[in-house]
Amino acid sequence: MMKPQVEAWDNTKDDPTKPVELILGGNDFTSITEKVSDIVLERKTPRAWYIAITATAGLTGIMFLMIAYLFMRGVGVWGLNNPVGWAWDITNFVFWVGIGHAGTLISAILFLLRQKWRTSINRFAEAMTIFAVICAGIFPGIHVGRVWVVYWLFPLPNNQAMWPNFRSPLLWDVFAVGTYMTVSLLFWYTGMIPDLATLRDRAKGRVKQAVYGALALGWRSSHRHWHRYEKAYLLLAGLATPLVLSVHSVVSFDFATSQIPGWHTAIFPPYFVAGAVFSGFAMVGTILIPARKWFGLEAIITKHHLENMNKIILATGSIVGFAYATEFFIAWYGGNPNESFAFINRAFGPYAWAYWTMVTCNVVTPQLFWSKKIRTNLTVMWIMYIFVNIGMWFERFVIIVSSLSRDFLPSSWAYYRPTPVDIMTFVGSFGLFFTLVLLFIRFLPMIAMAEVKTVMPIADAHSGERRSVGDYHGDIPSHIRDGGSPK
Amino acid sequence: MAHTHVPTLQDTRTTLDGLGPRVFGTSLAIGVVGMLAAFGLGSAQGDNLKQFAFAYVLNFAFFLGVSLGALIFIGIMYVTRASWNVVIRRLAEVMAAVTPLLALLAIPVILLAGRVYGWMDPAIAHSHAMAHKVGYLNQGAFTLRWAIYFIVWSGYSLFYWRSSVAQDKTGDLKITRRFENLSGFALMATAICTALASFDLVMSIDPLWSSTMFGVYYFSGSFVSFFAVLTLVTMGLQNSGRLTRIVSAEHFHDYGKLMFGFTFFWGYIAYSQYMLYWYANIPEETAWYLMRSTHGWGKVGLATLFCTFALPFCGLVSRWAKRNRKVMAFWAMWIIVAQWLNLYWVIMPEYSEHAMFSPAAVALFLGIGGLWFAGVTRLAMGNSLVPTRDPRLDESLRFENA
Repeated sequence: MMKPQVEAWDNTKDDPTKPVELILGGNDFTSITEKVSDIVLERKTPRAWYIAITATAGLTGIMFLMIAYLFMRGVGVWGLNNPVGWAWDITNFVFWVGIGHAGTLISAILFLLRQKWRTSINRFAEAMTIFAVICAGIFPGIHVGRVWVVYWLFPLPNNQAMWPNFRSPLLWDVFAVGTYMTVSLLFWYTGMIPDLATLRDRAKGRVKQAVYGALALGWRSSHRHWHRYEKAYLLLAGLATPLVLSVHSVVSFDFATSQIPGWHTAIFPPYFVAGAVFSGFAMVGTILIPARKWFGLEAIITKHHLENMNKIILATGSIVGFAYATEFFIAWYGGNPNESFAFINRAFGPYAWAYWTMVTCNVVTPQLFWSKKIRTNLTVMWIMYIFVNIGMWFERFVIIVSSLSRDFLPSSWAYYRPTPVDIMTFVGSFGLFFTLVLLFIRFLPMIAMAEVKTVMPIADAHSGERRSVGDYHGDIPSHIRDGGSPK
Repeated sequence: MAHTHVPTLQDTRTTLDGLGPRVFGTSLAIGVVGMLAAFGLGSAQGDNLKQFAFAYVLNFAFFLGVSLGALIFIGIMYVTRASWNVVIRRLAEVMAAVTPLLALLAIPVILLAGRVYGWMDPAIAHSHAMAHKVGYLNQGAFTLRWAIYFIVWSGYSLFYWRSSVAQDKTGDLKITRRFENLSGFALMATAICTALASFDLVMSIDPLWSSTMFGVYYFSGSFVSFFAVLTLVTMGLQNSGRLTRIVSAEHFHDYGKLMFGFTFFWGYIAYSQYMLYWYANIPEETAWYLMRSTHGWGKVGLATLFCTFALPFCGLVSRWAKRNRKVMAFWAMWIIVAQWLNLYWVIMPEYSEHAMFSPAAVALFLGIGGLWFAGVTRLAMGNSLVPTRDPRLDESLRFENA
């Protein structure tokens, strides 16, 4: 079909004299609509999709089996020991919450900053945010030990007067993550309404029409609809922006409010947020690169988009590296022997292997993105995303386990090793994540069509090719659009 | 609006001309008088210039912060390839390029260090808690570090200013490309120096207290102050008939958004640092806040909570406020006072256990501020106030918050 010239498309040349072309391949409104909605409506589901979802659903099943086993036997099935009361459970929780930061950063903060390039990737990233937060939510829920009273996490007044401890950051987590999940979901859904209407209008089967129709909430693309939609979108972006900071800040409070050396440091909140954005973008990239190739979306998710993401990875990775250095410096400067021991222990103690894995992946790897060649090379960047994902998981592991395993009382020091249950629960959570991603790709528009159209040159009021008002989907027949008779 | 006439540089005056020498002379006079008055007030205290020294560090930290805010702003604008700012970027360039003057103004900080910094006190310097870092916190190392900071800051800020002025004549695109390539490194180097400088300048007044957040805390407050100063400077120029029409409500809207956003960010940072120390309740950490919440300082701290965070947050949240010149002028002035008050609350309790008003600090605000502004004006004279041949100038003139 159109494949041959894909590799020649290059909009990564920085030219300060003119704006970057965000959508390539001579697309117009109609072709964007077709390219994106056909994946959901017209194209036959590839066999690979069935194979993939079988595998990921299998992994999800393993996770739930592991959780069932955990519920039956108790947290002893994990590798926790006496000083290390938190390990993979909270590591996985923080890891997944972190992954869930790219979506809202892209959809809310980049929206407020008028970053037009966000339109090609925001839907995808927002979907991943929601799925990652779902994966994250599982871990604190199952780690409480007495799962039958897990509802104590919620501030439900009950007849035993069992009030939750409002001073516990774990309770703040419930609010922070709950709010984040709710607003992200609303934001994602609100942004999708015009596209769901496009799917409704193009769907052939009765069932599809009914389902997409119900989801589109009676969207008719009228001026009034657009006006209200844009107001709502702006308000949600404004509300979601502080949430991008607050969620991971509150997650960092889980550690920083304590007195554990290596946990209690004031820079944790912004440093966790930077790390979360760092890992989130890496995960978006990990999935985006294969997806754009398999579904032929190279003209919409261009190299320029990926290069910009890599720049954000470089920036946030540098912030994370700077935070590591600051922590180390203040651990020495502050002169608290426990604090400096915690950091020396991280770098040279029994978990040194994990620490240096983290430093290599999070500090060294992103610095390669200073090179434009590397920033724009798909294979290399994909490998680097994997490194970042690994590094950010290890960051949480290092923080949590290295500080706990050698606490104030040397006689109780112990080394933590995961059990197969730990490992399979974590691996299984990837199954859940990818199952949800696969379902999303199959049933929902993975590119925000309506938003992409607004950043194309033909959407400009001064463009000669401008379509008539209301023809947002590019699917109003030309004789109606131009007011003439049918040709 | 999309269909209105796009302004050009011919629509307005873009040089200081006669205004330059007058503003320069006036600010210089204010600066000198302020300095002398502060010195007089300080000497009258009879405390061997101790209060003067604290007040000096406070105001030096404030204006250094504004210049560093400008330098960081320029760097961010280039790495993000932003265009809206081009029409006002020269103002940030001169505010940053005044750093060599700040290097001169840093000399009293070094000379007066013995009156301010705990690590100069032999009793503390020889204490067990300081033993490991006397090699770092001593006058020699302190001076050396300031030399390095100023080489980095001045190097980058003069490079931006000089090359940008050169581009006015040549229109050379290579200059823009060079900025874009180097700004990432400039930001990293500036960030590292700014964090370390904030430790040296402010945090080490109490050498036994430390916070990993302190660099971010100082930067976030300074960044807000920079936007407030930039807003007022732009308005002042417009009142004199310069930069009118080309700097529109759209640009002021962006100033407002940045002031609002970083006011929020400052609040977030200040809260995180306070809350985490309060919660963990480790004596050597809470001592710092205890000193700032007793003997009347608590009221000052509470005032900063409202003045520096809550009130400007509410005042700037609306789109109307950000596009209204009078409201913006009000909040810009407010923020300058409030951020200054916050630094006062951070620094002055180390001088006096009991809350006190320092007239010398106000005189030095005018003193250092006057000299700083005279320096900025001097740099702005003789060149255009707008980077006339920046490739993104046209985009900046057309800019709309759509």
